[in-house]
Amino acid sequence: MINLQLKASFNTSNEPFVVRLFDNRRLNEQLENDPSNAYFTSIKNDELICTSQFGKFTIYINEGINLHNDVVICYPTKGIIDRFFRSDSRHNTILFTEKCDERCVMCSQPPKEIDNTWRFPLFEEALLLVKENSVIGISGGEPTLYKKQLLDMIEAVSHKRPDISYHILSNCQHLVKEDIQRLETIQKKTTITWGIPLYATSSEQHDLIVGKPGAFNRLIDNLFILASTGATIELRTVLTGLNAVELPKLAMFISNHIPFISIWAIMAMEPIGFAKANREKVFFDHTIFPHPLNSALDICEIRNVNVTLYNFPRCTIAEKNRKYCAQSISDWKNKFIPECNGCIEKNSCSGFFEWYNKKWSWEGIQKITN
Amino acid sequence: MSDFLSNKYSPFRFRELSNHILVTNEIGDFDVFPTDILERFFNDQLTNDEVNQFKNLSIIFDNDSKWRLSSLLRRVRKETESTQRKINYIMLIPTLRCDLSCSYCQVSRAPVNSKGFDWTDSHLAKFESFIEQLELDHVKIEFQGGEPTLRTDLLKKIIQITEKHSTSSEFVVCSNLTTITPEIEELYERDDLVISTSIDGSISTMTENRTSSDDISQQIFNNFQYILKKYGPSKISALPTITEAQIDNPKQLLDIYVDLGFQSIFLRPVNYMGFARKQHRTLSQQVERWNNFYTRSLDLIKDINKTQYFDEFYTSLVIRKIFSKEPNGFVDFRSPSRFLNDTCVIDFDGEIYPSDEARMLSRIRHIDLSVGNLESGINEDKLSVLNDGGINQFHEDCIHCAYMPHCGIDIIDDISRYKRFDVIKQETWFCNKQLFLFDFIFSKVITKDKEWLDLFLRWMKRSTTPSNAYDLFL
Repeated sequence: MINLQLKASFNTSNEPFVVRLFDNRRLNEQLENDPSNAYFTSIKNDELICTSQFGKFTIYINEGINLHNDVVICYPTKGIIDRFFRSDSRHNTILFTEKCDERCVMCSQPPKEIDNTWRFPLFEEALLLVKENSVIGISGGEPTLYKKQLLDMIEAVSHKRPDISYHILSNCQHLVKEDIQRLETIQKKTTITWGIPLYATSSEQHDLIVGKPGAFNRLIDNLFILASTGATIELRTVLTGLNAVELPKLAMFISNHIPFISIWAIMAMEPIGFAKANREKVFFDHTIFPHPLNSALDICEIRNVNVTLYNFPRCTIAEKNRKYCAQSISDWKNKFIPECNGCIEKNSCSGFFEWYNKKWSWEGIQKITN
Repeated sequence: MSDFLSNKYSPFRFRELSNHILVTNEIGDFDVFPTDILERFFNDQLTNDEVNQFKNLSIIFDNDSKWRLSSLLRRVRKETESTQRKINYIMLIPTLRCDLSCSYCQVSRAPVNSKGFDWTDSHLAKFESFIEQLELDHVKIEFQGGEPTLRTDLLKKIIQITEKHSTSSEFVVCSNLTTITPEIEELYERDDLVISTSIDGSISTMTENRTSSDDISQQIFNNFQYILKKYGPSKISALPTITEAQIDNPKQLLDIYVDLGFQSIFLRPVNYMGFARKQHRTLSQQVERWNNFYTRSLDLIKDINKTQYFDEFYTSLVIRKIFSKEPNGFVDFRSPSRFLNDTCVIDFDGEIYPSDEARMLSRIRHIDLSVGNLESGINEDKLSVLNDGGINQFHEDCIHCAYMPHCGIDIIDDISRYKRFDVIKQETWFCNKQLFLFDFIFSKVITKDKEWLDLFLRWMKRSTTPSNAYDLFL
């Protein structure tokens, strides 16, 4: 697992600041005097000494870690830096807020009532420094609880950095018709993919899973609003014991009512957070009972719904359906287990979540050898 | 809109079938209920489960799920809204002459040595300016006849012109396959060209229906095998026309298609057009006889599928429309018909028709269904008269039919048989043929006939890989 936060000591003022780390051993005349950069020239005893316009600071690192071109937010009073943007990763995500109005029974990142709004200006500053053509995830909590600030940020950044695209994870509860024009304007400048969870075909079931009465109907209402802005929508369904049997019905529902989505992601659960506490309720072994998943995939093929499988190790999926498996688990939280040794599909496999353990083991896990 | 949203119900349709009531909504979603459902529906005696079934069909609305109405409206609009003309399929008749004289020839072909039935240089020039203003993207050109291979020189020129005025193109030559000269073969060698031919059954059937000579019939089979061997099965397809010669023996016809290596057959009744009006008069009015033949054939096809993939083109087209929601471009089977929206037929004399059947009818001066010509372009006024009749969604005989959302409308067939298209639809050949097929399909769904449903799934997936996507049905 990659550490997204590193310890540091600061010889700067106490105000948080944003810099891009630059390895001065890589000579690049263009960037050499960029005030956005913090330059480091050498690593001694796992200490990285950086010089920036804000003063000097030292990052304590593990061996082998490459911070060149990373964008970091520095918190001098806490003695830490956040690796806001890792330049060698495709999985850079802003935890926009930890507040949420839903309580999903399998939430991997349980919400916290913490006021994060003071960080928003730092996020905006940091976005301006990321590598060209980056895709930035925005997650939470529920980012659209601060819809205005979120859209303000994206719009402001889009003027200087139209090359950045976003993947926003949202429960889609907070859009209103009045947002349509604004979203249209922003989406003309910037590519946004909306990752939106839908777990069932009825309010009874969906609302139960997300722990919010009325969530289902509002979600579908708002999907129509969002779609009318020309948005790219990635519908997400985490497979749990509460909705697994319903999956084929969900496939029908999507193809009938919301075929305008760009992709439907069926996702294996992250065994952490609330999922851990609710294991009895939410654990589902699709290798013992593969019918609903296979049937849903068939329906998607027949009904022309673009479907993909996230977080499913390839060996747990019927061979004919492995074409749907994406290498989806973020680089900083995936791993392989002893059973993977000698598997010929390891290179194209998503692997397992860092927090995967025997308690969550699927029966069908075994290396693929032919 | 707010008034609209206060509606509690949307229109629905029903039909009694297999001891149940089949209910369909405006767009064709369906569910099955006990036979007393209508009485209870209107007396407010539905069970909670039944209320939910009707809600899921977007027939009953509640205040909490207004999106259901938006969804229904979106789907209906998508199905019926007029789209801009974008021609992608053109059928051409470079010559009406033919070296055969089939008993049912629906275009009343011209004798092989007659004059004045071929395109001239002036037709070619007009064709070029006609397709130039169509601004074609990808286009498929089908050469019909007559026998188009009598004029390979014209075919070559037309191909050249098409390639010049489209972004990409493909070609189909509909040939009787009596002859393959080196000039014809040169055309067949093109990768973007396929051949379609007529095979009605055995040598004797071919002789009776088409050639009047066993030698010519044999030659056709030889040529067919030659093409198949040299170019593979994707190069050539065949269509039967079902006359008295085969209607009592579907097995023989199907065996021949299986033996020839086909994975599909389009069981097509002889139309009431052209020479067929005289020579197959009785048969082309006996829809029960057709339906009987069709069911027998489908049963046989089910058996064929025990060892290989094999579909009946029309049934699988209908299956895909109902359950896969696949849009279909079949101009005789869609509603709105949208004549000349994506396809047109250009005859040997430069007249433009909305479908091949419309050309056939006009040819015998039954009615003039041409909607323009290469010279003066498309006659939009006349076209809109036809298009107004080609919508079952507003047709008084169709709007109460449970199958309306799945069905089409075929006013050309109506005109051919009854000389008008304002006849009572329930009495027409088309309606009875369609009703019969829909009843057949939905009775399998209602009785959960696994053997048939598995076959339907194969046809939807176009493969023999087993599937358990039964939620597509109920």
